[in-house]
Amino acid sequence: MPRNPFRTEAEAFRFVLLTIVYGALIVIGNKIDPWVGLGVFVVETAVVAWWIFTRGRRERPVPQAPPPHPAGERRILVVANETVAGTELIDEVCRRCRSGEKVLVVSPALNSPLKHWTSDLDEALEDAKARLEASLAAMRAAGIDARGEVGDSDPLQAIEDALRTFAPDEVIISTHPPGRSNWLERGVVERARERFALPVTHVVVDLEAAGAPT
Amino acid sequence: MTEAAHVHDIHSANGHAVHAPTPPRTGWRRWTGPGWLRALWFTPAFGSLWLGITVLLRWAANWHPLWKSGPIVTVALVSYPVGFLAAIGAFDYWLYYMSGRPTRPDLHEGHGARSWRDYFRPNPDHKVIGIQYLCTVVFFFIVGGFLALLFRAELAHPGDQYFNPQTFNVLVSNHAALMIFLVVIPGFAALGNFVIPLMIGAADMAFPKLNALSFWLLPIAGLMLIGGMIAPGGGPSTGWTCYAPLCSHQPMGQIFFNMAVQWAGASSIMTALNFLVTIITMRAPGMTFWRMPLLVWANFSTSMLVVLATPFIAGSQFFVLFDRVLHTNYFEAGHNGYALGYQHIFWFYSHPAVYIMMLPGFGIVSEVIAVMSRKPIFGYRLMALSLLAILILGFSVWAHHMFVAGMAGWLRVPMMVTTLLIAVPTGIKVFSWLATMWEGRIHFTTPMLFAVGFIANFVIGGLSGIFLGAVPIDIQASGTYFLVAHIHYVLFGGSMMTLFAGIYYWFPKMTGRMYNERLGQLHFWLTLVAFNLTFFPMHYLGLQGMPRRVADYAERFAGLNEFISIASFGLGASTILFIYNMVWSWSHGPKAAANPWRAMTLEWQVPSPPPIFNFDEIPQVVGGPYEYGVPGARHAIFGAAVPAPVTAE
Amino acid sequence: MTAAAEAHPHGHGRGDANLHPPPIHYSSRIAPPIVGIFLFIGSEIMLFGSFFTVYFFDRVAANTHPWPPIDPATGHPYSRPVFVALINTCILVTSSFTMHWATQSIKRGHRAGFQAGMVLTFLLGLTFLLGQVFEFLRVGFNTSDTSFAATFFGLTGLHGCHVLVGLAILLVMTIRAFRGHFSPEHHHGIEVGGIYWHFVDVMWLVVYTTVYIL
Repeated sequence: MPRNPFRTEAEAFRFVLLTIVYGALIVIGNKIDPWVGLGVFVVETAVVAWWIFTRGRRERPVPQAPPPHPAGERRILVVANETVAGTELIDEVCRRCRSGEKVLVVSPALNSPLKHWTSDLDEALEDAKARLEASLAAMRAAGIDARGEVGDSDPLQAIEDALRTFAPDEVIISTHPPGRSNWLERGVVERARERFALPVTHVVVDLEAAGAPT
Repeated sequence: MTEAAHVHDIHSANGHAVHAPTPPRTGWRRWTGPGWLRALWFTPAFGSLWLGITVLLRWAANWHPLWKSGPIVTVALVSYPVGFLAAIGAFDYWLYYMSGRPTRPDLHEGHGARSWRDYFRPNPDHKVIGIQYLCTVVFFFIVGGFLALLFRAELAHPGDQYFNPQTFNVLVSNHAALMIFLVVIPGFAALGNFVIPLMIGAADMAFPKLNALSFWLLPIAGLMLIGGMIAPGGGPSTGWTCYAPLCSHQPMGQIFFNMAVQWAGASSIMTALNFLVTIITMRAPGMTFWRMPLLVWANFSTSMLVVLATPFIAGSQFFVLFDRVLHTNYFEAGHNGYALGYQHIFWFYSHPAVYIMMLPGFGIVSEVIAVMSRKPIFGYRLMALSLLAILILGFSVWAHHMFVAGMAGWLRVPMMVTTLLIAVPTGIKVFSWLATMWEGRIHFTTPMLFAVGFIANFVIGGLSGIFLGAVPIDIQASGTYFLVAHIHYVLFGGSMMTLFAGIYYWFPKMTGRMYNERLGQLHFWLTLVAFNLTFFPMHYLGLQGMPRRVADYAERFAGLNEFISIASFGLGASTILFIYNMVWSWSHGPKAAANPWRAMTLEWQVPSPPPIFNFDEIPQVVGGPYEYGVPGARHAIFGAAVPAPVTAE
Repeated sequence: MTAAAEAHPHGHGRGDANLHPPPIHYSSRIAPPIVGIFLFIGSEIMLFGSFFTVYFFDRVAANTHPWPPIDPATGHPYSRPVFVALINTCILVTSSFTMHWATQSIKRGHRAGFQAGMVLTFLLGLTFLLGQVFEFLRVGFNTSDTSFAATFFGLTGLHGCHVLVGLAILLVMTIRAFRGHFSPEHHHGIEVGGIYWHFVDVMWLVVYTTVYIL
């Protein structure tokens, strides 16, 4: 959806100016020839319509700072979907967990657009849960104190929810390599860095190369 | 930042200073402070002042007679209510602001109810306003229903028994006007007012003082309508639709009708504006639009409809009033007027009005069914989208009220198509509710009974609507009792039942007490049976040819009419049962828990009744509102992040 | 279970919610009064819409020719004061410019510019309204002269009412401007009033074109 163009007094004033210009051009065109006036009207309206529909979407407001967790503890949030059991990810987490850090793994229940809009979530939830189990098993085998949750289907929303319930100190986002990652296409990592005041690490997991189970 | 945060507020919006309450006024000062005592003298004074100014201007312009009823009554119907509102203090905040005095802070002392007195003044607390609305609505429901019983008594037998046809028309017109403008539309505003800020995790509405003002416009509108019925010369008798040019040539009581609609419309628009700004700007952290409960979605769509459509009925009433008082010729055929224009403008609002009267009910039913079936709403996103679809499509069907009005013939088929099309999103909703209940663990409490009864009745009403949407059938059935049946199935079997469902459902939250379940169930069954016995036969009557809005009818309709009249008194009796339950339970009912329905939405996470400012701190939303039966699902958390006690199991 | 009330690290005990409200959270970057005024303007546009609609019915649907109709007293069409209204249009448009100047000034803390802008805007608006009223008294027809007069007075009268309300708002704002009540941080009152005034201006352009030109 395009960004609302009416947000401040300055924008309202700009609308006044644009209206005057819009109308004046039509009047001038009309004086030359009524058909010219009509043509000016059609062109101007088309320009306005194009401008309305091609405006970019503004980011949502930055969420409140979440309440802190008890001091003396370090918490890591891991966000991954299909790559959630990838070895590169497990290694990265191990690297950071040397002194008993708590880890929460969130697996967003990604879904096809049709199923998303018809609220057909069950299969996506099941798949995400299955992947999550595999990941948790691997992490626990590596000695990490990890819990897991299936998160909202939007990865950024899933991170935001975990910020509220878990209050991590840093976030690790794991994706497929560029070209194969839906999340990288949507700029999830950049937007997470923009939106959240936490260090965000990006781990690339190449499942095809590793032949790891999804 | 509150309503007008600027350097002259006593303290900032988040300040926690607690001021000592202002001491009550004593002596003669009781007559100058905001309140009913001041209203006693200020209202007539202010009203008379403006009448005097009017007479003076007429004298200066040499317009005679000076005391012509049209202008005088019109001015009086604006100046007296404005005087009353000013006297009870509804404008105080803005008057202080305008005069540059320090404004009393918005969410502070004066906010909330600590005694019964707080319910009889402009009170910015949305919960108080909700209850004020509800009590007002129930009062006008009784009045409107009583009018219906009066004319049903007249209709029990052919011939004129108790009322002449003119009086009959007055009864019928005002029954409809009261029910539409004073019961159903504000009834949903009442529930919305109470519940929405709690449901989205806000301490109050975006504009609490505006909210308080918008309530007080409603009793004014209601009293104006009732006053019009007893005005000298006769009351408004042109139907609630008040078609031009007839409407501009009526006795003085008609002006009361025109103005009352404006007051009610203004109240409605202000409330809707408040709802929209609140929903857009004051949701709890984490509550995206797709995590809002469906009641919030429904009120959002309804409020958009109100804000955009209501000005058209305001315009229509202005035009008929101007045609009468200013001698304009908007609708007078002899002077280049166009009479049918009134109908187009009127119905351009009044069709969206029926969606205004239904969509919040859809929201209520979604809440009740999900909770009482212990299941997530089926197809939540499509439910929300179908609300938006009804909102948009609702503007494209108005001329189906005018198929036989003599309008441009080419308009009929497109309007028929759009009318039939709007059944699609509505159908999505009905199937969604049924699918929600499917394989759910259903608890048939009173709210659930009303919700399910609503579905059954509304489908019948919707089907008769499909019939009427087809032009050939409408030509036959328009203006007959078939239409009366359709209207009442969707408005009583539809909207009123959802209102009842909502009132019962949120009764424990609003009053802190539980209603009597057995009386509630009895009320439901009595209502369902009496309602269907009253209105179902009307389908047949209409198709047999009995016209609507007639005081007398052909002999062959006599039997059914008598039956219907008797059944309608049963419906009246069920209302008495309802009132009794409400009053008795409010004063003597067992105390209710914070969450007797084990619901997940935010209003149930605070005590019953809620504290004055709703929440100790704003909850953080971390999931959807309907995840019943989903292990580990949470809608919101309060306070510090806590280690999640569950895993993904 | 669901939302449970846990321990509060902020030191608020229970029972706070009876004494004072919790800190407000805003879910939109636009402040509530600004959202409110834009929605209100949407509603007012629809009100003008109903007046334009009845104009459409009385002129187009009723197929009224000629427009303006012939005055039976003179045998000529009713005459509209197009030129005077054009002057008034320029005055009103100028007042939008001064209003914008005032708003920009207070945003930058230039109190003198702010006060001058407010005074000019009010005076220009008052001139517009008085000009229109005097023209009304001198125009050669009154409300009962066919539907032409009805729509003429209806549209311009409705607009005039909005100007009157706008002038009242401007007066209040101007008086408070001179009392020093606004600042670069707190000037929502000015923004809201400015947006309303720009709406009045744009609506006049549409009304003028419809009523005087077409």
